[in-house]
Amino acid sequence: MSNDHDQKYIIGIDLGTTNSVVAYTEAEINETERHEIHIFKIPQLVGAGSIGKQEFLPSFLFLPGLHDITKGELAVPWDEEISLAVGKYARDRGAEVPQYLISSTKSWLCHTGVDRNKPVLPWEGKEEQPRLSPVEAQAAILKHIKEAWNYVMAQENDSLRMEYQEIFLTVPASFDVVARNLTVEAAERAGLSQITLLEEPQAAFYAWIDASGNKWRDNVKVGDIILVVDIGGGTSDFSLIRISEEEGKMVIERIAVGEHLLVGGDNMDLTLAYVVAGRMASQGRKLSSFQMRGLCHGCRTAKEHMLDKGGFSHPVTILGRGSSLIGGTIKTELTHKDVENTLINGFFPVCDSSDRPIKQRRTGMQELGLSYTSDPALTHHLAQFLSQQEPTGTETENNIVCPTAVLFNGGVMKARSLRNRVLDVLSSWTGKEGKQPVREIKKNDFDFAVARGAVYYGLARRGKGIRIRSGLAKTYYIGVEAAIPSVPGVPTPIKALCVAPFGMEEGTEAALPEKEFGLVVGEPVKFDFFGSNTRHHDIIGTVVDDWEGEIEEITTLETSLEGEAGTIIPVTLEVKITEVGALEIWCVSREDGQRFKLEFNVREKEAI
Amino acid sequence: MTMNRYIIGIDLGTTNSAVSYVDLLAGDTPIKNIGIFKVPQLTGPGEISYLNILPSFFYIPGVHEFNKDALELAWPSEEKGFVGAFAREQGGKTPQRLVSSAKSWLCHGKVDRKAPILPWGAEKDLPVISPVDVTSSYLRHIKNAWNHSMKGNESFYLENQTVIITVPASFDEVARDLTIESANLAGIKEIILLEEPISAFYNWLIIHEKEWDRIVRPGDLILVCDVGGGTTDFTLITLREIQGNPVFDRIAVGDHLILGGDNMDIALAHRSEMRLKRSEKGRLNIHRWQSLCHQCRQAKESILSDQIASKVITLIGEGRKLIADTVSTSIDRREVEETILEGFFPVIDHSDALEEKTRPGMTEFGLPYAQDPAITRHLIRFLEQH
Repeated sequence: MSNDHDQKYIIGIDLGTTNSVVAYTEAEINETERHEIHIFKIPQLVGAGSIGKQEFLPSFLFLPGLHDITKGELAVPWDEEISLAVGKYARDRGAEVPQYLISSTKSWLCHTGVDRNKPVLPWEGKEEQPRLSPVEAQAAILKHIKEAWNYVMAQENDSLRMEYQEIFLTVPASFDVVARNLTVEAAERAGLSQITLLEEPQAAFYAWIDASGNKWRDNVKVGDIILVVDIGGGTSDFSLIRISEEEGKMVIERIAVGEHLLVGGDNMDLTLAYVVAGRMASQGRKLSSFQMRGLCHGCRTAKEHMLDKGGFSHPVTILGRGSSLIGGTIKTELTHKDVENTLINGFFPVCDSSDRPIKQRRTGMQELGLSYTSDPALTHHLAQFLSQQEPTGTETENNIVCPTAVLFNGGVMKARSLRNRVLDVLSSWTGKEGKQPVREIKKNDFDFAVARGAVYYGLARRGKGIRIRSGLAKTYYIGVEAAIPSVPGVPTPIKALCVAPFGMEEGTEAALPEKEFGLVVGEPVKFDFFGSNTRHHDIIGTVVDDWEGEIEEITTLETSLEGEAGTIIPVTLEVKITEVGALEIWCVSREDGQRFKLEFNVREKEAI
Repeated sequence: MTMNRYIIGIDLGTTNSAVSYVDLLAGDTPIKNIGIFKVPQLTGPGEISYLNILPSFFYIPGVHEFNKDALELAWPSEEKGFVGAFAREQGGKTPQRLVSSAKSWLCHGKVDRKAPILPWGAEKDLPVISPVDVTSSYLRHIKNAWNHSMKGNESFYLENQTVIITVPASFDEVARDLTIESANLAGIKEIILLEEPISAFYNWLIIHEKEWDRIVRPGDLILVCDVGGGTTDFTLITLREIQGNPVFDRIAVGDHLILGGDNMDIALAHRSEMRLKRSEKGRLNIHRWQSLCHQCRQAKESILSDQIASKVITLIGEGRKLIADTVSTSIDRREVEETILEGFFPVIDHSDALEEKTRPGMTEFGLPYAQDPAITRHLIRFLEQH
């Protein structure tokens, strides 16, 4: 970014699964002044034909057919003719006609089972109705954010338009490179061509540093291992942050990121919906799948309300459908007990540190198209995550890394009862070894922390704050076919060649000049990309023959590289992680220096 | 060079080489006296045997691997390693010191064939040799063996006879020149190159000397299908008549396919491994796998040449588990035929011949092995192209 100094604002965008938030601050401030991070109130449709400003932009898209809306119903000040809605009205109106509603766009963006550039949303939408690809849907939300900003902030002064500011966009730490690259692509489509990605748990940690002012150093100590538990609407993330010391200075380092867990607030809503539906079924009322969706949205509202404001129960309303047997509107309620029991015992059961996620047949949300983690018990995943890490000196006899403190993030974790359960479970694991109970790093802000933290990171990059050291959260591999004689019925083995090691930092490059590989050109070929959360010691060039259980397939790229058909060019590899955090792999011909770039996100694995 | 007593033909194969000769002074019809020169070679430490073939393997021993006299031949040698049957056997135990398929490397356009690159992928401190030098080493061994048998009569030395070396028809100019260069390096200054399919066809002509013209006629298209140990070549030959004399023309040559008997041995080994796995845990280690392949080759050769109907394959246990880990299975004719016929020569519908699966774009850089083991499918492609 060459025009750093022309940028008046640093903007942090938390593009959440259910809610998006935008925070900003002035980039250049007086040395003596303390920066102030603001939340941008996003104008959006809040009712038919009615615009309001809100700190949240619900990440929902309402995409009606041409004849389903009245003219001007969806109009926003910057676009009278727009045919879709983003935000509160989209969410509320969409709950009534779920076939026109796109929700959980972010979860779709990291769904390896679909082509994320194909118009598949709303999932199960009809052929003739307007549909968007996950990338387009994410771009539509970002475009709304951009237009809204420009409408409010830049009407008088063009240089204040969002696209000219320094933008940090947060993604789950567990987003793999494909999902990261697609996020960058969505931003580009929205006209935000210059963005930098930041991991959400890190953003949450930055937000805490920022909120603590100069006191943050008093609340952590050298040797701390801080677990960031970030439970969003659609994904859950575990990260480990280590506090150490170098030359007398405190160093913060993100040392591990867990697997991508497709479980979050959405699953909790659905589970609550099933509880309600089950109760109704026992009373002899059966809900249609259409009503089930409405119930799901109703439960989300009830859950948010109760986790946020307390209360013993909250009404849930389900619309009937025309002259169906059930008919009319159904009124029921969700009780505080439902929420506590279902969420605490279902998603955070007490377990042992040796417990592991149960692999079972996938159920639940599957019918909505998204494939969710088969075991929703986050404590099981936490035990697995802590057992997979490199020794840090805080292990128990069960060989799990014991965090000394926890920082919670994500709307779900607003609920004190959930936080306490996680702390209790962790302390039960570490307590056996006579260690101190795991403490919570207190913070108040669960809604805006990520967006604020992203802004703080922008300041830190300008030398106005402390930075967390981090790098690639996974080790990345490319599939290399073994050069051995072919045998009928025995597929040629594919080896995994490490192209980008764990911890490789953004803005850095690496090359492997001494090893040659054959690049097949002039015919359709495929490249398999793999990743590992556990193999932290592989370096660029490491070849793994047998990786059962340690390395997972991320995506497959099918392409055809220019060249004479049937030739295999000897190439060496060069790898680069851009400033934005995107991974680029280049194959360089030994013969003439020709360079081939392998794009990560061209096409996906076949659809389910 | 005017009156050489011998014509010597050298088939420099990918996995096996053979030498034949004819003594032009022996009788009126020397053509009937073509003989095979038995090549003396190491078959064990300090053990020399005279064999019809010289396996095209080159083994580079470690400094202290053998006693000095264990590798001694009847002639002085300056070589980095030794060739032949014992090289192949020893290489089975220590593959990182074995050079095989040097001929395929000689026609590999993407490597420097005069650079010491073999064994391919050898670890840093192990000795390496160039494809040209290995080829030269095979020829030098043959020359020395021949000359030794001439007991000091220099005029009968190999380099003073008419020497014909065969090369695949698919060898390009560079590979042919490198073959000549290898011969020169071995001290054989003048050679004639002959294409293998033509040579095979001449052999057929000799055998059918009396009736060949009743079997093939002018205008016939003859397919020479040459499936060797490591490679497969297709060639189309036609017969023309020029002023009453038959002339054979080579009209089409297929790609040099790195696919042959070795693949079949491995296929048999895979099948046997599946059966052994019931008693064996996990994958076989490299030694046991090599041993399995070796025994499968012997089984294949013996069964297909009708010497035996089936063969027991035994993998001896290693170290302390000598007895417990010893496992065996057997291969019979039905299995050999099934594996080879169905796997390598499947009956293919013309339309599905060109269906190709998308292959991985990145491969280990090595020999360009044929992707598809079905020889019949390669054949259809060859015939469709010509």
